[in-house]
Amino acid sequence: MGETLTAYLFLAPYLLVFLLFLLLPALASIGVSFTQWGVLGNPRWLGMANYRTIVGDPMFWQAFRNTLYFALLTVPPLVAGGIGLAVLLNQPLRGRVLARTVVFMPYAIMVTVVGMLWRWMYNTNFGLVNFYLVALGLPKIAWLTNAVWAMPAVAIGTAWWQVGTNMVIYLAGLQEIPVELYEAAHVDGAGAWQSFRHITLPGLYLMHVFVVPLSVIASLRAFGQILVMTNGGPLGRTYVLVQHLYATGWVNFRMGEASAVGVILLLLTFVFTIFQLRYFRAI
Amino acid sequence: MREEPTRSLTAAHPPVRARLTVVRVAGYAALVATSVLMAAPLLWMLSTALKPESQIFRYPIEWIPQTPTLSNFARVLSDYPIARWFFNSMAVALLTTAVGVPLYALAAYPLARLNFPGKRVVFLIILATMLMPVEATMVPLFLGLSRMRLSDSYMSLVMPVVANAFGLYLLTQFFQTIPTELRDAAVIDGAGHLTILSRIILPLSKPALTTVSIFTFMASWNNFVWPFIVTNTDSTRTLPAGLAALIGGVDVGTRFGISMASALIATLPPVVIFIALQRYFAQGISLTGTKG
Repeated sequence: MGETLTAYLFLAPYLLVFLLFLLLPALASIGVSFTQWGVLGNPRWLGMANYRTIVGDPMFWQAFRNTLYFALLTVPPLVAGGIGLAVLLNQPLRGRVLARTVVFMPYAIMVTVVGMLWRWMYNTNFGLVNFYLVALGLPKIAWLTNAVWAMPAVAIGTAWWQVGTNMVIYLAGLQEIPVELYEAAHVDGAGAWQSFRHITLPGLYLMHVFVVPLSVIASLRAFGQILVMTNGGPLGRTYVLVQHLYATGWVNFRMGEASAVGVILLLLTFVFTIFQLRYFRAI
Repeated sequence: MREEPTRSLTAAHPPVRARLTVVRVAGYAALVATSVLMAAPLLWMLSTALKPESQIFRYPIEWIPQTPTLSNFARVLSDYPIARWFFNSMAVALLTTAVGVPLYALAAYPLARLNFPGKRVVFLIILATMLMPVEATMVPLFLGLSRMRLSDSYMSLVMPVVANAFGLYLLTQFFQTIPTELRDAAVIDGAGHLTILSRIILPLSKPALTTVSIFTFMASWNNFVWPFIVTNTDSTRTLPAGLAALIGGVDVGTRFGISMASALIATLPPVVIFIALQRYFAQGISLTGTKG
């Protein structure tokens, strides 16, 4: 009994902050999503009206499609790149420690700066990217203002920013694979690809279980770097769900509807995460 | 990053050695290419920030500024309240760390070392929120804080980051690795749980506490969406929010000298911390796989 009291006394200060600033707002967002609510004034009960508005709103569907497209463009390179870089920088090569630092470094940069930096990198006439494209004999691309290229451009900048994090996780995973497995495979005549396919990839199983869902969640939440690079343009081609939430709530001041967008984002994340954990048989 | 023991498959036969040489050359080529590609944007940022405005739009591009200058930094500091934003960011990040880490340590102790009813449920709920997009909590949080006239305050920036369960999770994991015999001995001596935490657990947890402190600081320093929404005066606006509102925006967004100089100012503290304490980052990330 004394231990229970002690336990909850120790937990109390954190739980208070957790409840007030995280759990209750999360639960309240469901309630708010059924209301009409300006910033000032009192809420009015609307039932499902906000959700009906959203379902009929082409801007929402554009944001929804764009978000899935962004996830499709970022998650595979982030996961495959993380594995590839981890395997490369785990080889006995001189300078690999420095290379790891360089690959991991963008992690320390804030999202706004990522946007500012890539906005300059992608500048059509004076940017670094086009300069080297032309040097390679390729045509210039108006990366951030071309309807086709804007989303891949934003995705490349994002991959540069985050791939190092995944590399670090996979590097830790590689240390756990017993070296005897590789030796045995070598004796049995397995090549490098076969070893990678049948030892390295399955050996990193535990890492996949959190790298893949977390990469997906991060991509569904993407906003800041896109806001600065393109502000959702051109023609809404990079307009994503969190920007739609922001615009609905803090540009158009429709708080109830914004909350409903938040609930949809929450459900989307939840469904994706459950499916992935099922796939990995983690639950 | 720490150097791990290498694992190479060495073979003595000449043809195999020739193949290994090819592999090694390919390995070095990939290593150099990767490093160059990853470092180029950052070096480009530095190069641009140090160029006078007249030399920024040159074609072909110049990596080394002909006449390096600090004029972009001077302009940013005089024309924009970036010093104030910097101060706000630093104050908020330090406050968040100072409030958050003691709360995580206190809460992690019973979760890691005590048995009590409701423990599993509490821990599972806390864990589940780590996968939740915090954007979904922003509307109620904003409405609540606005009603209490607490929006646009340091507290409104500090508390939502403290509420993030990442630091608690990491410390709980770490506390579980400390052998219980030490604790049992202390209990026999009649020490209370607070004494056990402060005299035995915490001194043994310095690396984990450092990791959690860094992550909490960084989570606050780089926090964007919420400060962007909740701050609307320069007295509370933090760097990510201020940069997005003014310097990342359309009007100044094409004055790349100013843009890159302010980007560099915002990047300096985390990069210094990052380089000095890199192994703690790698440790924290690989312990939990959470993206700060």
